[in-house]
Amino acid sequence: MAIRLKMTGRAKRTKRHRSAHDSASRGSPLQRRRARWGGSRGTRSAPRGRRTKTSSLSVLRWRQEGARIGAAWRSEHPHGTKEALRDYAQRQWSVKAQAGAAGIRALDWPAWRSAGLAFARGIRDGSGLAVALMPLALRGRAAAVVSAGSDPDALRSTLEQLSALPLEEIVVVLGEAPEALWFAARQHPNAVVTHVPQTLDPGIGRALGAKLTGEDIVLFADGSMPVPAVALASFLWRCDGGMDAALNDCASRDRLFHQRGEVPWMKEFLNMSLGRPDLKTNSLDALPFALSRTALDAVGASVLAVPPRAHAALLVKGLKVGIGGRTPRTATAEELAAGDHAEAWREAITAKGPRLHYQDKVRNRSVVGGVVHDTGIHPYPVL
Amino acid sequence: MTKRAGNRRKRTSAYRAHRRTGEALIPPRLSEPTMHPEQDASPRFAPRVSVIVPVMNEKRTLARVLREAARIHTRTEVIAVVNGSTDGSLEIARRSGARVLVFDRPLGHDVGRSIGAQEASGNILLFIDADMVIPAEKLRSFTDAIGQGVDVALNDYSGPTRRASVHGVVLAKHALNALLGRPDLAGASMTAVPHAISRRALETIGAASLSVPPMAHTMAVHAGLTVKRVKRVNVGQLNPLRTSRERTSSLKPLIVGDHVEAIHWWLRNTNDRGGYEDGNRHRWRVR
Repeated sequence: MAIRLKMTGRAKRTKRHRSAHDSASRGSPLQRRRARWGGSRGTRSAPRGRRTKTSSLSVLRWRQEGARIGAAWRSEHPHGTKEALRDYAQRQWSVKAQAGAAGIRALDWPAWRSAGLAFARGIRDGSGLAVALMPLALRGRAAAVVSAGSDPDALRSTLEQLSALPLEEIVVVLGEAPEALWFAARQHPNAVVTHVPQTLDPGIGRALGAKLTGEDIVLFADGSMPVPAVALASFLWRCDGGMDAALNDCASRDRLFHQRGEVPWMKEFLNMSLGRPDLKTNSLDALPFALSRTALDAVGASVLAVPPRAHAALLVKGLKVGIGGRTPRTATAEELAAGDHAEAWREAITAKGPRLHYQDKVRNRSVVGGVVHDTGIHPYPVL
Repeated sequence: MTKRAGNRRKRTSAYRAHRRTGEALIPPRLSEPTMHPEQDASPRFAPRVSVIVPVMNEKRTLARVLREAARIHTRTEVIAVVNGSTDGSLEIARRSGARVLVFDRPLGHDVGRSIGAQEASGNILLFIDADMVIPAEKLRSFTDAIGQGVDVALNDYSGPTRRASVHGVVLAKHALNALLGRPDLAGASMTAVPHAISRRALETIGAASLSVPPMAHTMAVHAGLTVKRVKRVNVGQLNPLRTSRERTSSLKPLIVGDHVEAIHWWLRNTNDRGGYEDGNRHRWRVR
């Protein structure tokens, strides 16, 4: 397929309009409104709509580079395996990314992604091997924790996608698992398998997996819903760039407020009260998400068993919580949500006080003798 | 109002003390003659419904509000808690024949509800605001519900929710109800007026809690009282001036804090999980 060096047709027409940076006066009504609001914290990390386009010239360059490297490797290792090629390609990518441009990290994720994908394509073309590869230049070491689910094929697919990423290890947590699932997990060369022979709550599985790995970035993935490697890479990249928790942006798919139900209401209220209305209904229970080592050390891996509580802990400790990407998520069981949120509130109130710094300076409570009705517990001090 | 001997202000020593020091004036119920001879404390004329109206500066609507309140039931006691009024609302309240509790300085939001509830003698207590004129027929739905056994009769209006993003107070009310295990209440809460409570509810939660309405709401739900939405009164549209004054948005931090305070009370009176089970989690596995 030919790579176009010149833009023609619609690409050329839109390019002319795009050169004027006046998004406040043109675009769809939603884009104009967004331009007027300005950026809000966190959501700009996965921008929608107009993307900075990596010029087709640099994409072509990366592809050619990949082809050259692939061909060179192939000639040196005529019987080399895909895994070896993958490792070699990731190392080459890291080297080139660090050497390539001084401010290359200043580019946003779509630019990195296109360049990486082009490079991978070149590797495949040059070496002739159909290797799944998502080149990602991380400064730290990354690992993944996979909750196995119940479908062996889905698990295999998830592990394949994860193997495209530069991960040091993949921890697969199996609960009550049929043999097929066990074999699917064991087949993968890079996987560390943890098997607890009882039904395992997903949060417990994540906490267990997090305790078993010590890498700088931990990606939590769902074994029952395979997500493409390129989407997972976004989460790793965000955490590598300084974010402590990179969440999955499910709020963009929310229905209208009155249709959402009690769990999104509680999540959104927790976020708003802890000073993060931009997170809306996003929380730490939507897979995939990624956590940095700082975050895991600060809150402790065992708190991941209760996702809302972990979310509250991250926010009250002032860690950098943001959006890492947008992928479809599996519906999570919601019977324990109310109790979990009670724990989350306990966490928040313990850290910030009974009113979370929202003072009551307007009421004259002494006139009514203090406001609390606790038999056996003394009333609050008069405010 | 007709001029009657009972309508004239009695200059008692308590009143003079109030004028001198600016302290709260709570008229002792039995010793001082009240405005209307019918509103004696004798059991035959004991009010069935007490309507409590906190008033600061609402001269534009107060007379109509108090008139509608008095029309709810034949045995209705209207209690106007006038606090920090400077625009003549006090005179209007006195002339209307309502029972007036006067405070020189503003008490703060919702404290007037507690004061009024402490002084109320009806079995049904209805709380309304002085800046919204709601016809007696609509108010009667709330008091009738209490008469039929409901403990807390709420306004079914949750605020505008058919949108992607709602006001923080609307969100807080929905979330609190969800947390308490009452998602059926949606955004209805004792924060909003009009609402009515039974005497049993008042004795369970205590009049003081009414000063922090989400707290009162939480206590009522936690105590297992019958809390229901009974009628939708669109208070967002009744008074366009109210929304343009943006009273609610400047109160948002206060109301959010109230909800957190209510959650704090609830956690202290249940357990770490608000009384909910932990399912089959077996969290000892990751201790």
